[in-house]
Amino acid sequence: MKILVIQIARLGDILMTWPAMRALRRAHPQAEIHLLVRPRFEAATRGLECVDRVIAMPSLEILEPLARETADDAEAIARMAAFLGNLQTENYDEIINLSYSPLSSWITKSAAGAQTTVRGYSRFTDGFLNITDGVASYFYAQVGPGRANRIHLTDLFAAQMEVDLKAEDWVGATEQFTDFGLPESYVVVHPGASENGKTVPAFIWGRAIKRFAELCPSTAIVIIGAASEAALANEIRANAGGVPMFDLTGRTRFEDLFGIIRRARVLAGGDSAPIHVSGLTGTKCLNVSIGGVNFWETGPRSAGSAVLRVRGPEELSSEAISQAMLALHEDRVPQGATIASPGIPAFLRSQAEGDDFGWELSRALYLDGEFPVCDDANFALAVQRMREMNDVVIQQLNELPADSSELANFMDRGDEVFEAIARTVPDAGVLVRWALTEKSRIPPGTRAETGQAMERVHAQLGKVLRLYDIEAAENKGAE
Amino acid sequence: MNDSLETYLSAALKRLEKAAEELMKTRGVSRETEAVKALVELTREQIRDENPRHSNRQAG
Repeated sequence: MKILVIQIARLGDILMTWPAMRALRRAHPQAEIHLLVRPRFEAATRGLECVDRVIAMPSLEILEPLARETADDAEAIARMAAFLGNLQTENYDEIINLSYSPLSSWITKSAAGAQTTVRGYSRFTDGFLNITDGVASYFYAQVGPGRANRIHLTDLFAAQMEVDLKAEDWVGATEQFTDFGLPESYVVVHPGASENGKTVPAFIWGRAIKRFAELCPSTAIVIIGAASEAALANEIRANAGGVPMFDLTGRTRFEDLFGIIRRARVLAGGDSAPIHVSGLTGTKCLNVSIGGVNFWETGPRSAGSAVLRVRGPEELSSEAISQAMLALHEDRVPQGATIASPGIPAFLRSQAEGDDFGWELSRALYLDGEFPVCDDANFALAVQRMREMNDVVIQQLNELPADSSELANFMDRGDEVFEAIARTVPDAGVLVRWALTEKSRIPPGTRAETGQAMERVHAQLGKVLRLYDIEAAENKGAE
Repeated sequence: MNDSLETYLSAALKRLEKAAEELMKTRGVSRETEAVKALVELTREQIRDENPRHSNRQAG
């Protein structure tokens, strides 16, 4: 059996895929497993011994003809065709697309043969996005910034592969690492971040390190980062009041991070790859998470880890960071932080964050959970409007000819109304995105077949809406 | 990304999108269409430096 896993997202995504890749190997011990990644992140696959072959997509080589002064589109297309052709000749039995992107959907479509089992995003024969299964459907509808998902990407990737994770899957690379002469007891700080706006300012890191050193003088400080983050590290040192540090910025290979972080007492860092390394090495991590990053999906997974979540850098406090580092160092729970927990969801919701209706509704829709009670008037009103619209949609599907442009236009307008409701009432968005995604999964067919499939989706939506509308009616009766 | 590279790729994207549209009309989803479509998306990602994972695009 030959399996291709497509992971052409970012460095952190590759690291979050490691546990699922190990579980995949366990499920298919004799299979030949290939992993497709971006060339600049290929280093993140070193040490993943369960993969037989890592394929680096030659992105820059493919794009190069387009960047010439006299562009050569035909050459770029030929290079892409050659890359896809090489994948086609592998005749994969299974392709698992963990990248959930338009590009990966076309790669999947092209690489898959008639007998290939495909999971994740692909393309239909008419070119529309093919969301092949329930996990991909959930991902499309409910995962991302501002959405109600509480399932960590590592668990979603495993679900997409249809494998179960075990503790033994959370292991980092174990090869020999560079000896940097680090002391016995140290904490690691990674001040960089994968995107602008997710970075804790250098002066806050510097002050936090200075304060931590005062509180815990016997533990050394190690700073890691890419060569491009050297200026940031210098600024941190300048603000740390002369605290001695091991500055390894720009000095480490990617593989060295496993050795460095494994031996650390704590890793403190922003939203970037090293926190995922800590998940594999079992090192406690303090993740300072800024802005719209959904830490439920991408936060640290090692036991005892914690997330300090702030909306923007202005809410950050060096004292809070240093105290949180100290708490983790002393095996205590940091105040004000969200704690990592095993299982799903991967983080315990604090009392201060209130209820989690959107997540509970997602669980009911996708995981056969109980439909949560809702006493929010806005949601009740949204349900009422949706139900009205949904009833009219079903009526039109029954009455108008399947091939009429009038029906097609009406369906489009109906979707726009649902989307407008979702924008106004975010919890209603869970329902709207579920329904619209299920409709987009309808394969090419005759107009009559498509119409019947749409009717089934709207009928399912109607059942859920009636549940909440009945509830609203009962509440009104009780008043 | 430097400005001139972005300019080249942006112009290329427009051409490729047009080519992809034409191919879809005339040949449907053929091997060539797949290559052009994939190249369109690769180029688009490069220009926007997008997080290639979060795809909130509508079907199609």
